[in-house]
Parts: sequence; C-alpha cells; structure tokens
Amino acid sequence: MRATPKIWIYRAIFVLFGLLFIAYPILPLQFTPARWPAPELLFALTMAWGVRQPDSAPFLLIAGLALLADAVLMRPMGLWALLLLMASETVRFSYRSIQERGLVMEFTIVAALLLAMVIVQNLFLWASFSQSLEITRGLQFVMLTLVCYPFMVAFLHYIIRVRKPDNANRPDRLGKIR
Amino acid sequence: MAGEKTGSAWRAVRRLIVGLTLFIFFALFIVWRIDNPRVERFRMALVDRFVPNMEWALAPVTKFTRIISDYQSYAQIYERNQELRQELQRMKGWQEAALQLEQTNAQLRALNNVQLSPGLGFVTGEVITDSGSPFSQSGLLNVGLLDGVKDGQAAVDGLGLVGRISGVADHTSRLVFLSDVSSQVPVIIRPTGQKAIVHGDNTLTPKVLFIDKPETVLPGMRVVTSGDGGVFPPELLIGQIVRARTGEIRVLLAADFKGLEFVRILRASAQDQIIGSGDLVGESILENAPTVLSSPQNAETIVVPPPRGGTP
Repeated sequence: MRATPKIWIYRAIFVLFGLLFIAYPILPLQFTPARWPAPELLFALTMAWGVRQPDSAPFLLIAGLALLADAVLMRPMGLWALLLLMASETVRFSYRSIQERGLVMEFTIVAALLLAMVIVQNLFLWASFSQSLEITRGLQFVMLTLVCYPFMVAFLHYIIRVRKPDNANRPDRLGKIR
Repeated sequence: MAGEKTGSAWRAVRRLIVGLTLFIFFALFIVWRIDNPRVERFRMALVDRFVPNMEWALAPVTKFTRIISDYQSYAQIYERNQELRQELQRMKGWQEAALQLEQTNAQLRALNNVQLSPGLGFVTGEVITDSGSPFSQSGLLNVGLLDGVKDGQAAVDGLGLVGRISGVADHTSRLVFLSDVSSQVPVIIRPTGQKAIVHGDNTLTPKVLFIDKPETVLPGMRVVTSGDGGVFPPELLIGQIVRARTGEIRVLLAADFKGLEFVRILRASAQDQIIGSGDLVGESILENAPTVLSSPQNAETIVVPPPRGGTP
C-alpha cells in the first residue's frame, strides 16, 4: 500500500459519492409510486471504481456502504451487500486483466456480474421463502443499471479523474494477488 | 491493497477480514429472515443514525431539482401572468366582500352580546368632538343623563370596546378612550385565561400589565374584559396581543378609532353583587334561613343532640 495523501482523498470521494448514490432514491421529490425501479448506482460506482483504482475503494468501505444501502433502501438486510461485496472482490481480483481488455469487455463482465447477482439474490429469496423480485422488475433494474454504467465510467474518468494507471508509470507489482 | 512492504501476512489478514465480513452479511440475512423484528430495529437504528445527516446534505440537490422542474414552467410565463392577474382581480372582489362580511359579522356579534345579557341595554350616541388635547384621549357624546347614560358605563363600536363614560351632563357625556393614560381595564387574555390590566398610554396599542407568566402570552391572542371590578361587563372584545420591539406586551385595539363615529353605550342594570364571605355556617346564614335549624325555640334540641343511649 502506497500511503500517499492522494489515496485518502480518493477514498473520501468514494465514500461521498457512495453516500450520495445511496441517498438519491430517497430524495423527497416524488411521492407517487414509480413505474421504474431506481438503478443501482452504488453498484455501478463500485464496479467502475474497482476496475480503475481498487486501492482507493477498499473492501471495508464498500462493506459499510453496502450495508447502509440495504438498511436505507429497505432491502433484505445483508443479502445485496453480500453479493455486492462478492462482485467487487471478483473485480478486484482480476482488475488488471479487465483493464487491459478494454471498455466493451469491462461492460460485458459487469453486466454478467449484475445479472448473476440478481439471479442469486432471487434464488436466496426464493429459498428463504421471502418475497422475491418479479422477473420484469429485475430485468428493468438490470437494464437501467447497465445504461447508467457507461455514464458512471465517463463520470469517473473525466470529472473525478479516477483512471487506469498509464503504462508508463504503472507500478510493477501493485495488486498482483496470485 | 497488497503492496511491496506488507507481504503475505497482510494478504492473509485481508482474506480473513473479507471472509468474516461475507459470513457476517450472510448471517445477517439469515437472522433477518428468522428474527425479523430484531434486525428491523437494527435497520431503523442505522437509518436513524445516517438519514437525517444525508438529508441535510441532500437538501441542495432536492432544491436544485425542484428549481429545474419549476424552470420548465417559465415557458408559459406570459399566459400564467395573464391568468394570475385575472385571478387577482377576482380575488380582490372577494376580499372586499369578506371584509364587509367580517365587519357586519362583528357588529352583529356585538349586538348579540347585548341581547344575550338581559342586564344590558344600550343607547347609541354620536361622537361629536374629541378631547382636543394630545394628552388625554376622550370624546364627547351627544347622549347624556336623559338618555340613561351614567358614569362608568362601557362604550363599544361595532368591533370592540372603545372606553368608558366619565362625566355625564343632561344631553352630553364624556367618553374616555382606552388609550387614555387614566384608563385601566381588567382583562382576560384568551385562550389562556390569564388576567391582566390594559393600561392606556396615549397610543392605539395600550400596555398590558400585571400578567402572570408573560412568556406564555403570544401575539394574536384575544383580549376581552374580565368584568372584575364591576365597571365593565365581561367578555367585551378589546383587541389582540401584539409585541413591541422592546418586548413589551401590548394590545392592538379592535375598535376602529380612526373612523369612530357612532358608539353604543352599554347600560348595565345594577349588577347582582356577591357581598361578604361565603361562610357556610356563619351567622348570616343562620339568621336568614327560615328553617327549624335557626328558630330559637328549637335551638336547644338541635344544638344539643341527644347523647347516645342516654334516653331511657
């Protein structure tokens, strides 16, 4: 871990936007029932950030945000947080190779992860006799979140400048967990 | 996370943390399913801890979004303006009607007051002059002794108490306004029911003195006469509480002093007075009660009860 002050700034930014994305569905803007589910921006943020700079999105921060999101958004406690952590760890484990394969591949991997998460979530809910997500709702949710994903990537890249390290100053063995 | 300096040890610790966290979350989900109320309490604790802070941070976002949605309505600003202007005109008509109705209502209510209390009659007089002095607030009425006006009677206009009669001639009488420095009226503040004295000081907002717990008195509370002292009949409207910049509590008089023309002088017939202490077994009761209790010839048998078991 290269403990530069910069990494702490990025962590703070990560937490800040994580909190924002948790809170935006509960903004008091609309009191009628919505026709579309809110996209999971916390997922998009975690994935996009995890592909680019996993160091500044540490595991415990993601865990805290995910649990808070479950609590605030009235979801089954712990389930989506568990899945989100597993997905983020998957991405963290292979972020170097995802980086190298380009944006389309990254998008495909993220889409596959999200779909898998929704399916596993429904399986868990079904197995525990809870009320599970309807299939149409689930598909809407996946689609909306994936539509948001490129914007999240652009937002990270151009506005908060969370980017892949250049090849020139890429550290030698950073993050190679084998 | 894994850097050059912190080698495999850190990696192992991290793996442990990750595994533990995943296990905890899984357990949390299971517990959520099994012991729902407990976990929901935990959820509410989390929400309670975080959401108020978030809302504070998100208030600008909310405002901004609302401004944007408001901005869309600027497109039809001209039509809206026309519409609003027409509406305003209509509303002005209604406002006038409401004001007139309110005054009529108040007048009728004042009349009602008079009718409801059988002890009150009234005579209407015209204010023909005012005192002509900046230091005494009074007026001269064109009614007097011959019309049944007496010293100390109350005068009201349609809305509220104006003052009291102080000095009567055959055909005229002097009305001292509530704003006069010599005017002191015992009042009750509604709805709290606190008693106070309204003390004139040459303004249209006399002071309210001698309030118990003045901090509970709020602007807008109504002030009515209490009837204490027997000068004014009770429940005559005086005005509303206002607060001066200095923090003083004052009353904004309900009577319309600017347009004062006719006043109604309430002729209270001699009020029944409760005199003396309310002693239940005092002499006065014994003297006045025409019962066997107080008749002298039976006094002995009453005053001395037969001793228990004493009579054969």
